[in-house]
Amino acid sequence: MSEELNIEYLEKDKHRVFNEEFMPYIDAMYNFAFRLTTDEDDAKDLVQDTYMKAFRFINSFQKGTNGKAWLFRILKNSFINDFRKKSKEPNKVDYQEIEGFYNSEDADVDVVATHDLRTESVRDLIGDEVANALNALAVDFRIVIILCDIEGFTYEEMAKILDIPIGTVRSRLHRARILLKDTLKVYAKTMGYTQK
Amino acid sequence: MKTSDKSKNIENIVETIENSASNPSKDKDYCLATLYLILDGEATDEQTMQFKLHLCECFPNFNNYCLETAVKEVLQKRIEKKCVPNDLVANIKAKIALEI
Repeated sequence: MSEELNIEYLEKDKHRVFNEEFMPYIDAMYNFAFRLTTDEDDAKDLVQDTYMKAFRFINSFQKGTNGKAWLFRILKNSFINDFRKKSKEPNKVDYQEIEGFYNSEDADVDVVATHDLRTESVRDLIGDEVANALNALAVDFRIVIILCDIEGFTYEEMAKILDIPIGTVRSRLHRARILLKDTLKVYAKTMGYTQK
Repeated sequence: MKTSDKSKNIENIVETIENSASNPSKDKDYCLATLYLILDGEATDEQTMQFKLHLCECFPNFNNYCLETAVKEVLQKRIEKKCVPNDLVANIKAKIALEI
């Protein structure tokens, strides 16, 4: 990745690069942090911590490369390694089960399980219900949905942010979407949006 | 995508279509995987064309396509975008100034 190259910026250039390449993403960073922590104060701390790290390690960022992906990677790592440890034990996800998903019989079962979620029911859901369904996912699944569906990162960018192969990005995303649909189905049913 | 990757993709599509005739379950998995590639803007032109041809003939996959598109849309449009707190940018800049 480009951040492995070390560039010695002058002090004035550090500030210029920081303001031009990183600050434009403050909205996206704050919203990403909020969706991970689900708390406004924690989100502020996490974003501040991320920007401080970005400034300290700015020499490993190559100007003109993907600053947004670079920041997202720092924030995700800060959340997983530092921040979440302070608040609670990380949610464990069994990746061995997920990685072979495309070849497993379970894939077919999952498709059937979400079959009765109707498109009209999804369109009737309000923002809070969608946000709650997203927050109900284990954090590793929540992250791939946020990166792909909300932030619009490519699989390649996600692979770099998460430090996993593209095949793993796809299988994790596949599993996350099935779990999200299951949760949305419960909301739709509770709110009377479905016939079942 | 590189030309060699595209050729491999075409070979994979042909192979999968041939296999799916005798294995409907594999066909369903392949369709869902391809649907996600299209939805995420990651499919090749060939994959998109093949999938759209298949959609015309397959009602369950058409339904699934509509559902997945709706889920992606509500994620993009319905979830509230939070405004950055006023003091956050100022705090970051003040801390950066102290780093020098």
